[in-house]
Amino acid sequence: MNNFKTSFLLTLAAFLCLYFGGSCEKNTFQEGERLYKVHCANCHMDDGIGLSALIPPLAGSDYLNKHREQLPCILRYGLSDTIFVNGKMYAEKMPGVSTLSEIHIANLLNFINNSWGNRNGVYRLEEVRAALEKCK
Amino acid sequence: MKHFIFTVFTLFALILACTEPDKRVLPILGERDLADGDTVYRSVPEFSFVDQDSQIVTNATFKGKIYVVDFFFIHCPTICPKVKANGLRIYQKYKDDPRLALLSHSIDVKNDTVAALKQHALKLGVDKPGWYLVTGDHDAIYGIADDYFSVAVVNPDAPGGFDHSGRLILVDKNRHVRSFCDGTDAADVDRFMKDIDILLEEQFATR
Ligand code: HEC
Repeated sequence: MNNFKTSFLLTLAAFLCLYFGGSCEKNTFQEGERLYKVHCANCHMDDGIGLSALIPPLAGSDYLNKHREQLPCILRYGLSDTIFVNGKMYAEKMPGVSTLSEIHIANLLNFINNSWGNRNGVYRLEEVRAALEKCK
Repeated sequence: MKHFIFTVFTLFALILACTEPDKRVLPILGERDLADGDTVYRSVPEFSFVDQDSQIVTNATFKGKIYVVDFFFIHCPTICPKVKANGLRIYQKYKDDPRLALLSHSIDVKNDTVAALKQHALKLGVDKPGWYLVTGDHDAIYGIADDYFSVAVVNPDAPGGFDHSGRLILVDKNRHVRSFCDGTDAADVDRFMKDIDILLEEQFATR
């Protein structure tokens, strides 16, 4: 009987693994993730990998750390410049999302800076607010 | 122990069942007429556009091929990049296979000039023939869109109703629409790529 129980549990576990496979890496930035899906994933893709030479990646992007103070402005007002991400050049246009509040921006930045293997720390609200002051 | 072996067998059988090769036959989609007492399927009408290399692209370009159709524009802030990413998966899988081509129509005929399309194609990573990004007369582009998309009007089970956005459409050698998918949904595109293989098998079987 015990044997039966064990095998039953094993099967169950196997199915659960199949079913939930991949979602084991739990993300704590759920609001940021929700906003990302709405405003950013169309271009930067669900897994942050971007698209060829058209849209730069966010996953593993060295730009995030190097331009930490500019990111709040980029999210709200967009970017149309020639930039380098991980040594590759991009010269396209990203539209901003003018309706993003300071809290939205903090949530978004915390999500992209701590997902897909990124470990760039978190933004506090004051930091976002101060950064936005500079691009008004 | 017995139960454990049993479990392993069940799992194994399940995996086998899921990888069983697909034996479906793709239906012919779209409107049909009754001529001489028999059903005839409407086929994709004549068209003539210009691609990223300034070459004229017509039905003849796809003679003896099956091809995948979509509609997009370069400065599209919404779903286009996802559709392009999935189109790129199809392109990369079949770019050395002359039996399949891709045909993307720009619906922004004003901004998406031939030069802009060329740049877009190169940045996307399209460096071989086989993926035609075309522009042309505004009405002709929108007209042909209606022709391709009309398939779903008579296909009520089309998921989520039907609009011009984000669909990938599969056309056979006889200019009949055989399958389509939501180009923004990677899983649906996986299914669509299986359909491509089924159609290749059907239309190019060496017998
Ligand atoms: C319409 C497509 C599009 C959308 C939507 C979009 N981006 Fe971008 N993003 C781009 C492009 C294109 C660039 C490069 C811009 C340039 O070359 O000047 C870029 C650059 C960036 C960069 C800097 C470069 C890098 O890869 O690290 C960040 C950060 C970024 N985007 C974050 C976001 C976030 C967060 C959102 C959602 C609020 C978003 N983007 C929405 C297209 C888009």
